[in-house]
Amino acid sequence: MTVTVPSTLAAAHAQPAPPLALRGLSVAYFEEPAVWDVSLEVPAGSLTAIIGPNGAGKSTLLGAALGLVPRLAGEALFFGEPLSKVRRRVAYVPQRASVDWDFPASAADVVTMGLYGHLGWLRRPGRRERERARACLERVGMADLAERHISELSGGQQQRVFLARALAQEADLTFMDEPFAGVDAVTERAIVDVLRELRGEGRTVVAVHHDLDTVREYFDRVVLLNVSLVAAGPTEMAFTPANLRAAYGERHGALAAALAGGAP
Amino acid sequence: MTLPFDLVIVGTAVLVAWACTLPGLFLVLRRQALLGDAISHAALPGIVAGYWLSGGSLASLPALAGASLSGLLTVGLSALVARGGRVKEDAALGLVFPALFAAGVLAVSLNYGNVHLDLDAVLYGEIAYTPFRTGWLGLPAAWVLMGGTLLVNALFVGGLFKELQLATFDPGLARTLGFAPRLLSGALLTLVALTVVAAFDAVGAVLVVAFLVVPSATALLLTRRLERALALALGAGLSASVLGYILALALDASITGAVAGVLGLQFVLVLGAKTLRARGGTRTLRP
Repeated sequence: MTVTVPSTLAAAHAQPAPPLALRGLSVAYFEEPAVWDVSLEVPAGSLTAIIGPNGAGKSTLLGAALGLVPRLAGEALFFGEPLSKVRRRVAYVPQRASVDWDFPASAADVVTMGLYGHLGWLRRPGRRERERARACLERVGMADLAERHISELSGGQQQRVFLARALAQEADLTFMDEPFAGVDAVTERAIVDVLRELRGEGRTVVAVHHDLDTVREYFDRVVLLNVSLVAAGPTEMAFTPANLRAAYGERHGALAAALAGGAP
Repeated sequence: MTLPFDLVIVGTAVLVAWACTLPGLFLVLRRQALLGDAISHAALPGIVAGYWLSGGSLASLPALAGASLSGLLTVGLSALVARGGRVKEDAALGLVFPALFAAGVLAVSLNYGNVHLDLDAVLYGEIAYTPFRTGWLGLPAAWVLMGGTLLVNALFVGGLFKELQLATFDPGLARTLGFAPRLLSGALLTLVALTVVAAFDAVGAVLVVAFLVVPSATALLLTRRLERALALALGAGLSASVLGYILALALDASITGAVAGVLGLQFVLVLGAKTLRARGGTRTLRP
């Protein structure tokens, strides 16, 4: 008779820990639950959309996983470890409106910030960091605007600067908070291309997403959230009219289900 | 060792200007420009306590220590009030400093009703007196105090420049990268509190608040690069100190008033020049 311990150990060796595992994650703002008891896993090399109605706790879930929002209960593991042990493998792209774009910095300055984690405390960015920042800006089609002040960029260009900054981090797992919000078509295309490149390299992206129209096209996995977890899994299995109704409620759910294309 | 009066006074002004500008630039960028003013008022209960402890001496180490402690208490308490998320940071500061100031006023009126003890007496230092107070190695006392403060601030801002830049622009990213932005912001505000109290003693309240805010505000109009903004702000503080002193001598007016006036003039001139150029030249489109 084989003992179970070695066999689970063997299984653990065969299958590396997933990039993201949430267990019983809960957040409350002033006694009001914002995210309730969410457990899920995100496999490596996948593009996951977090969708749900306004106030469903999508951004809060990201924030709580990253320790930016205080958790009430639960844990978040990254590659099987707490974030503090794998910070360099995790990148975060906040909502564009969350920073002050009048801050004295050029596009290249902001992208260079993505390299600060690799530099560590006290060390200053130098020529090498500048060159890497420029290369990342090139990947999002912004090489010409590297020295432009960030307030002089359009909303879409600002979003691409944030994307380039995440690329500079060379993370295996990237969180994005509404990367497609209010961007132009060129930027949307650039973001999608980069997402696919990242997936091609075996990297993982988890993004809060609003536009139900594009979920099927852009993402291969879906997390449906309305404070509690409604569904999580491959898009074709989780992104169903029934789940959308459950997440968005009867009134808006019908519309959401129609947008989803009426799949079974 | 006796130094020329002019040198002592202008030197003190420059030391204060630079000590204030280093953390001041980040205060302005964080939209906390008036923190220095709040700390100046909140320092009163600490001064009263120091006055009581030292047995009735005003310009004393206990008063300075008390003022610093009150300053730190202001920073700490407002962070605590804002922590739950129900009260915004600036509102928290607005709640805390009047309460501390009121406590100081009450303590004065209850215990020292017949003594002249107020902010003017203790904190609104007069730069013209700095040549008469000698400290360590026979140097002017203000030079020792402000030189030390400048050194600490320069080490902090110089050493942690990229960390402060990131924590100011995007605290979320700073946190996920492990750069402890809350600790940094606490350290920055603590240095502001200590700098303000040290500088009040040397040059008075108006000039300290001016040095914390105006050179940085002027520099940020002139450049879009953080390093350049810091260099320009330090230059503005230096030139305003020299020009202000010359102006004060020529007009036989208050030195601190003249220096603060030149700082204001610098800002207005730069703003005016920028506005004229924007009207005359091509307009830049801003999203």
